[in-house]
Amino acid sequence: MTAPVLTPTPRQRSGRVRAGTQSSSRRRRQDWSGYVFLLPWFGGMLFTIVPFLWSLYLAFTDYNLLNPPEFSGLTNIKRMITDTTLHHSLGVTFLYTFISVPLSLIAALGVAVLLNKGMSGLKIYRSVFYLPSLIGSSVAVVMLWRAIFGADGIVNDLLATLGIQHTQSWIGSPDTALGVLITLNVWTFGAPMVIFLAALRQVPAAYYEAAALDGASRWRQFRSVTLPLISPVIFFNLILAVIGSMQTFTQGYVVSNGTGGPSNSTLFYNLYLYQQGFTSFDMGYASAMAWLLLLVIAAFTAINFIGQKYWVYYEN
Amino acid sequence: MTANLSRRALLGLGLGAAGGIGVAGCGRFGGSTNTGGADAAAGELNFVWKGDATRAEQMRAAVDLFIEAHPDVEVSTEYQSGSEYRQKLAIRFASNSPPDVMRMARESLRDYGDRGVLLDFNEYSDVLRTDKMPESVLNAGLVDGKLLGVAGGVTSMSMVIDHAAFTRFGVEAPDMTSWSWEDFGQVSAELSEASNGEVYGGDLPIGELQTFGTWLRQQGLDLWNEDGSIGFTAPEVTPWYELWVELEAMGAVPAGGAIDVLGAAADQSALAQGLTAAQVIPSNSFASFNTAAGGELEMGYLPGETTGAGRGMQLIPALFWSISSATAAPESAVALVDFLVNDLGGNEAMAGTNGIPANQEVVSALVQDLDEDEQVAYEHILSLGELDLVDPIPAPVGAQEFMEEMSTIADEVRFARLSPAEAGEALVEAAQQSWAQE
Repeated sequence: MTAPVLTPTPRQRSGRVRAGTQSSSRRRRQDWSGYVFLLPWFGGMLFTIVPFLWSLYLAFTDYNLLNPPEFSGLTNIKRMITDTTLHHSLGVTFLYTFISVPLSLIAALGVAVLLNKGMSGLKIYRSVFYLPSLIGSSVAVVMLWRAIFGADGIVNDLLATLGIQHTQSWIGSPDTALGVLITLNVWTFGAPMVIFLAALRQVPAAYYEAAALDGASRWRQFRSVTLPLISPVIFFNLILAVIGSMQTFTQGYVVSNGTGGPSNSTLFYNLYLYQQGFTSFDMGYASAMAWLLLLVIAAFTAINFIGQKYWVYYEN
Repeated sequence: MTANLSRRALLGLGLGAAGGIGVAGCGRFGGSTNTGGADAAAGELNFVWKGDATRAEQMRAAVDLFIEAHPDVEVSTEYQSGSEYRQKLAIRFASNSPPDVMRMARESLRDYGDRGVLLDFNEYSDVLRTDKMPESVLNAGLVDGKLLGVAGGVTSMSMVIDHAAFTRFGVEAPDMTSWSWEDFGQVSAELSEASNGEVYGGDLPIGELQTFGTWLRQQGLDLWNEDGSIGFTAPEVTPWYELWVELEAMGAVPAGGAIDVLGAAADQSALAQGLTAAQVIPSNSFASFNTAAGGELEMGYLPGETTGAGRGMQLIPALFWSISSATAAPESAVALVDFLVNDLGGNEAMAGTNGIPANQEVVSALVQDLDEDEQVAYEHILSLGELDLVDPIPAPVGAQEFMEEMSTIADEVRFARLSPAEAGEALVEAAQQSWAQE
């Protein structure tokens, strides 16, 4: 880990053109300012790189927090291969990601398109739609959702008025608990929505005018003009959403009181990792799990980057 | 660059980077620098426990009395509620700054004890008086002949029924001193029916370790044996799950997902929410449950207590006081524990927050000035003490992990994903896996 040197490399003076001192010093100033802005990151790295490497070491040890770690070679890796609960928790996390990410991106884009119509009171609507994202994964809201989707919750009351008798708790049943959490996640589409909205504003109106002159329908305009032009932003949101939802923890923890229940249906990978570390005091195994998650997220991100050349359109 | 960094410095950095895990908001219990016993000067103690702000006031009042009697000792106190306590305690040990005196959970005593980080009270028998404690309660803190925990209070798992519900729906309340599991099923089903499904007559927490242990002992078995081996076989626990299936079919207990339990606190319980008319609770929590559930609770035996092969209920330590083996002031630390266990004024200040005092003389002296609900709990636990009960065997390493597995298996049964026989197999397997991790 070599820290980049914080002095700009002296530029080769070209023999032909004598660069004006003014412009080269300005450039040097610009170089400097870049590094200055990076400083906080370097500072943060100092604090994170050591634990980061330490956890890599721990992944190959047996460490119970109370005694010094003992090197155990590939024991943790072998255990991960046969640990059915771990496989199950990966399954829960994948299912959650594959369903909630596309749904929340579609919801975000849909609302952004509607808001882009330039209606009056846009700012208010934008704030209202953004609100859930600010509070969405907070403990208080998850508690609220427990009240809404409980056995005596608002949802079952509403169903009863429609004549549907559903007395089971939505979050207390293994078949539906994860569905509730997916819904909660889709509901927090504010951040991608705001980014989509900015992207939609960037699409030149001339394109739409030209398309309209050629007789393109609204839908055709959206498909052939809007989507390609904002595809880099869709890609950006996709990457962020996948990385974020792979690391889901709070919702599962709160809704199940930390158990991942009922019947492990909300046992996200991160929640299981936490249980290994802090319930079983098995920090070596938990560290190995953390690195596996890093590799899984890296793999998904790589697949996304490879896949982008088939659908992401860069104008330049 | 990492070569000259000690493990401790690494951990310190790690915790700092992880967003200050050890430095949570209220009632910090994060091992700020130099509170650890290892660095403390003699006569300085760091004392931590688990609980809320109310308990903290009571505990601090007791500690202040101790300091009055021992002016040369300084005591800094920290507390934490919920499951965070366990995690922070582990991190304190991991970062080489353990507290001197701490609350230790029943299920964690061996986890710590087996790793050699706790002090053996037997070496300080001149400071710690244990002659007024029931033998079984004292022995619960023994691990391989070493006394690593001293019971800070005594409790038991008991059943409470809500008389208000029985009166309201015109069902005759059961006699809790002699009822069988069949009686429990019948009367609970009767109440469920009389209330037209509004209230379930009872509930059976098939995923709860202590309740399961009680049932096992009624069959003449136990959770684990002295040598740490498993005390039951798959065919022997199948009836436990069959019992629930039967009760659920009768309508005596709620089906899976039929009610939501919000949390462990009394006011979040199904009983307090008016969803069930009976619940298994720790006896020392009777006052808070009775307050939360409207004041008409009766506490008694679990069903089957007099009709089985043996008695299942036990007097168990509500918690242990333990001392870090790294403490710089072992004499003072033991003196503090002795004070908490045996001092009348100290126990008066703690007001039963940690269960019924383990010292029988203190109990007799205090029983006069209790309020009504506390009196009920006291009398109940004292009456249990007069019975011929099976002594609790300290939990093996991995008990905590087993508890989680057990709760998952219970869910699987409630949602008919496992048959009782399969659940029995799964439970034995979970026990093997949890306890095999030495």
